[in-house]
Amino acid sequence: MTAFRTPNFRGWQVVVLHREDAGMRRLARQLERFGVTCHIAWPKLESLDLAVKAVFFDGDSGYDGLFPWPAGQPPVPLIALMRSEAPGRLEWVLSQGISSHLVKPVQSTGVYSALVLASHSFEQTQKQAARVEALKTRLRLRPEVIRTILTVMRLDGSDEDSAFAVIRAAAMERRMTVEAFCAVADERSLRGLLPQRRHGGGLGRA
Amino acid sequence: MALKTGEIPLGILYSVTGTYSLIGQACLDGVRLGLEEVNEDPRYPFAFRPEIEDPGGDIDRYLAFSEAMLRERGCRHIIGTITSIGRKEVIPIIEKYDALLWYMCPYEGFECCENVIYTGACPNQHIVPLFRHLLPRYGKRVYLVGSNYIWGWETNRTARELVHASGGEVVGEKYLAFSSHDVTRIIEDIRDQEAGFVLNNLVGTSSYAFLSAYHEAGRSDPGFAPENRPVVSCNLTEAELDSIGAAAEGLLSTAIYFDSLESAASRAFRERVRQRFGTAQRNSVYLVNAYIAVKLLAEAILVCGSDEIEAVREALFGLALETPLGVAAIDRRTNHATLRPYIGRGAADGSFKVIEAAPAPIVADPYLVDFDARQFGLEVNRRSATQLRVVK
Repeated sequence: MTAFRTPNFRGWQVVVLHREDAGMRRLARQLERFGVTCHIAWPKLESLDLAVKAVFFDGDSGYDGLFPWPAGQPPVPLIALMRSEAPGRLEWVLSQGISSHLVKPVQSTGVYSALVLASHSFEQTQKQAARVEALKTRLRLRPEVIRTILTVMRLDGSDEDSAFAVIRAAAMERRMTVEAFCAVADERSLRGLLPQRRHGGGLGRA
Repeated sequence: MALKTGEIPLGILYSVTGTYSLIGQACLDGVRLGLEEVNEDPRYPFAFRPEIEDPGGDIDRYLAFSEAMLRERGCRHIIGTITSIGRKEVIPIIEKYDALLWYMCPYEGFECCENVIYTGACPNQHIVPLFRHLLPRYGKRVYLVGSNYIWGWETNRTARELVHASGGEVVGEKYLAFSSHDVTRIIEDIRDQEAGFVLNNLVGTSSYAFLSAYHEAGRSDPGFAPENRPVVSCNLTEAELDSIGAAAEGLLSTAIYFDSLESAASRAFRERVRQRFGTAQRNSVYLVNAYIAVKLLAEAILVCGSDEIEAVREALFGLALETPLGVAAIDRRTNHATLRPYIGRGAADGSFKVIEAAPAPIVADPYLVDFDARQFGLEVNRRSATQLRVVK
């Protein structure tokens, strides 16, 4: 069992998009206890400083265009501050792509876990999105793989499995995915992969 | 505005019955001593009226008792709770009535409630200095035991992080239910795993049963001798050592106070405790810290002229009260006390001999914000090298 590293937010900057009140000042004080600097802004965030690592925002009064990024695509973890549980509000908050939430009035308890959960969840979501993107690319290139297998089979006179093995070995050697390799491989470069002896025989038959 | 002469109700919530009653009793004794001093001292133009309740270690009773203190008996301050479960049970009601809870036991950290004053040690004041002392001396194979709740789990998790940061290994981790005495399998497992030392986060009677069995195992197996494989803890004090008897010999514990401290303030306090409770009474961090909590509250009320919590808190941060621990300091940023940790070695007569003292008081870092595991590991390994040279 590996040790769960103690989450550490030392040196973080966060933005709180909420009208300043006693609750928000309490939130800011609690964040400072984790080593986090907090900027309170309302009613609009013009731009997001690159140093900002998370954004808390008012889920009760938030509106379209509140954030300086395309709706639902926050570049940092978003944490909703909620008092209302009206489905319409929850729907809006969800559409912003939140990573966690805190119930108002904000108390000392809950801020740390909201930040830990949000940063973890955001990171997971980012990783998953990157994986999905990579898988989509590979899916898109599947016809290229088929084309390349057929080419090797034709050149080499081998079956599908051994053709694929040749391709995979070549891709690995070049530190590429099979799909990326197939997308750039042409008949000439493929011929270069095949052993001279069988290469010659294959050509002879062709 | 000057405070009118009168009574200030003060909630006292300690379990003086149940599995950790010895700790509760030490806390209550400390509170009593503090109350008597304040109430007899003409310097304070008020007297505390204690509202004492004993939840008996039953978690379901904390909420009702604290709510009654705040709602029906006019208390704005409660000194109390020992376990983190108890404290966390009380906090919502404390927040609801905007009262102040004075919590003075060591705990696992990761909490900073503005309605709580924390005067016990948190991890950077207990487990971190303890492991910095132990890992270079007893090696990096560590066995963890604890009672099955947040204190045991979290202190052991922090311990695991410290051990891993030093390149060591947790060779076993076992938990017992509250009040369970089922320690035989743990003892056998420790024997098999050949740990360098054992961190004991059991509480109350489970802990006594474990220490007794461990001591017994040492009679036939030198592996269990304290000089070979000590049992260490972050919360074992003189309050419980008497009930452990001969098994107390060689136990290592960290605390922000030991009865054997030889400062003038500590000697004077020891004398006062003996006068009040008799010579048999041994002083512990629980007693002294509960006493200090009462004195801090009284002093803050004296300064600000009110028991309103906002005013009391503000006055508290500015106090420089002399206590048996030295000058008390509560950090405005975290509501936690700045404390000097010590490491003590237990003796069969129920005392702890201080074997190491932090060079200076340490500001509480309840979220371990300034803790760097990598730095800790480097330091431990550097010290290990020095330690080995000393041994050879």
